Amino acid sequence: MNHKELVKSISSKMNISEQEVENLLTETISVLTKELSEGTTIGLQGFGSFEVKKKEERISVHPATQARMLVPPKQVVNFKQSTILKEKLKDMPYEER
Amino acid sequence: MKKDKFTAQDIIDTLSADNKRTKRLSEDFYKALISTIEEGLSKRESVKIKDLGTFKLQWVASRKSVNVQTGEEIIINGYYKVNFTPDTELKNLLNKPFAHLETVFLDEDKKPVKKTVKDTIDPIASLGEQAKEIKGLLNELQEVSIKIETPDNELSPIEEIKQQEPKTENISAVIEEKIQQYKAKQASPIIIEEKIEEKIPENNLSTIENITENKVEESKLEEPIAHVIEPEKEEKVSEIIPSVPEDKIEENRIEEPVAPVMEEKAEEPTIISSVSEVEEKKPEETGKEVITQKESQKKEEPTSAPIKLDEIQLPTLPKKKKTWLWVLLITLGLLISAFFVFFFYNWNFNQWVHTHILKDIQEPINEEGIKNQLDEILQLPIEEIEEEIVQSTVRPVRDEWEEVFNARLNNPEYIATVKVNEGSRLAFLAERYYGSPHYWVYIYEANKDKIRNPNMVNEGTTLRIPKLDERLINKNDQRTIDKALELKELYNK
Repeated sequence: MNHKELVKSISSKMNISEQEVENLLTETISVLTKELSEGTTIGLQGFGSFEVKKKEERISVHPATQARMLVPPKQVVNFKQSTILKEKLKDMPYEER
Repeated sequence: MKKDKFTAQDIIDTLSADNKRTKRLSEDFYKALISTIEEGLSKRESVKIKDLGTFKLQWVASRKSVNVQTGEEIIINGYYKVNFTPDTELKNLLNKPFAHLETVFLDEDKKPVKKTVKDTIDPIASLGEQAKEIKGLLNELQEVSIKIETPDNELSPIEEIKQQEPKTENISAVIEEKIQQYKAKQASPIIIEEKIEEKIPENNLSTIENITENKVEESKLEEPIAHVIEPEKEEKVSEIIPSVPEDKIEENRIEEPVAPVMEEKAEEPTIISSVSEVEEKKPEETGKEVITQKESQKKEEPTSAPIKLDEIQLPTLPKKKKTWLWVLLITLGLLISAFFVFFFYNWNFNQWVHTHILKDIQEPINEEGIKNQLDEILQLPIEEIEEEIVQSTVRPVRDEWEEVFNARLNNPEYIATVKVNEGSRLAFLAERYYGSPHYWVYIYEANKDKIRNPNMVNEGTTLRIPKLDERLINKNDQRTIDKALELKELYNK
């Protein structure tokens, strides 16, 4: 499901125009990214939480050439599903795609 | 106040606040968004939201585990977990503070090294690099200080000139001796002073003459001590006095702008000069007419003497161009070491001066008392220098040991290979081969590729026992054990 499909699906659910949904969505996303970039944890009840974590710099070794590299530190977004979502997905059988 | 958690309610609030939508609409939107994402996920689809990221399901395979309370083996069923991959847009935004950083190749270790050695180097490398830098600096300092010790014995030409110079003046012989003694005893600090003097004619030859002309006036200003100490005496005396120890004043003058570090050393000459002033008074009391003559003589001398110095120094300059580099280096080193010494002793010495000398000087002074005080002053610096030497001899030992420690992984030699039996532990092996169980970390380091968990070595593993430098496994040296424990902490993480 890509962005467009998502918008269409929401608009059909709420009976509002896709344009309106688009606006709402972009606003939501901008708020979320802003909060994340400030390092705030976002917790969405019943869905999960987003958290920014810092990965420290590290030395990695290229397995073939043995060249050692200093990888700079970086920030990553960690998503942790809530237990409610986990329960919902629990009974889903495994399926090869 | 910033909340540390941003909730769904906050999203709804911002949505309705900014655009004046109803709360109801915002809430509905939020619910629809979440439910749509969940729907998409439950269809095993990945849900992509532009500029935010992608939600995806990931299968976590079933695995065995142990019930912590009962010890029973249980099976955790496989399940789906939601995986979120941030969009590049969001990633870039988050990594803005580190945007300028790039992966750097560490070319120094590009040479093919044994894999085992490599792995073990990694965690230590960062520490070792810093240690090497510090060591390098310390070694430089030590080299410099050794070079300083050698010129101590030979007097530089300028010093000889100086020794001759005071003889031409009408200062009493006792003071001359004292000054020379002082110079000889404080040989190293005085060399600094001389070198600073040498530098100055090089840098501003033109200004020197002006300086020497002004010297008489300036020296009066710089000798407040003289006025303070002898308020009862005639003013004339104090006017004459500053001009007498002109070479001393010159030293002071030059030191002060160059390095406040030298304050400690600068203090001593001033004290001496003030003492010499006191002695100078005696001839003055006998005949005041003679003194006026002396006054005129002495006022001439200070102007002529420094110029002589310059004349003698100048011709030697071009020959010694290369030595100048050395001189500069040595002076730099000395300044640094003096800086530390100064900080170390400043407080104590100042207090000592205040309590012993200044108090005594303010009392009526007799000649013997002055001599004693001078002796005391002259003895002090030697102790400092000796302590310095002791410190510098202690350092190399520690450095050497650090070097041995850091080099232990570079060229591993093995004294034995051991097959691990049941119940065998690294600590036992360490005790057998090195004499203390603490050193097991070194065996682990050498066999890191074979040992997954240092506390549990698999039976039948063949271990190599590395040959270690005697100093690393000296049980009587607390450092070796400390270091081993440090490594243990590192590997047990």
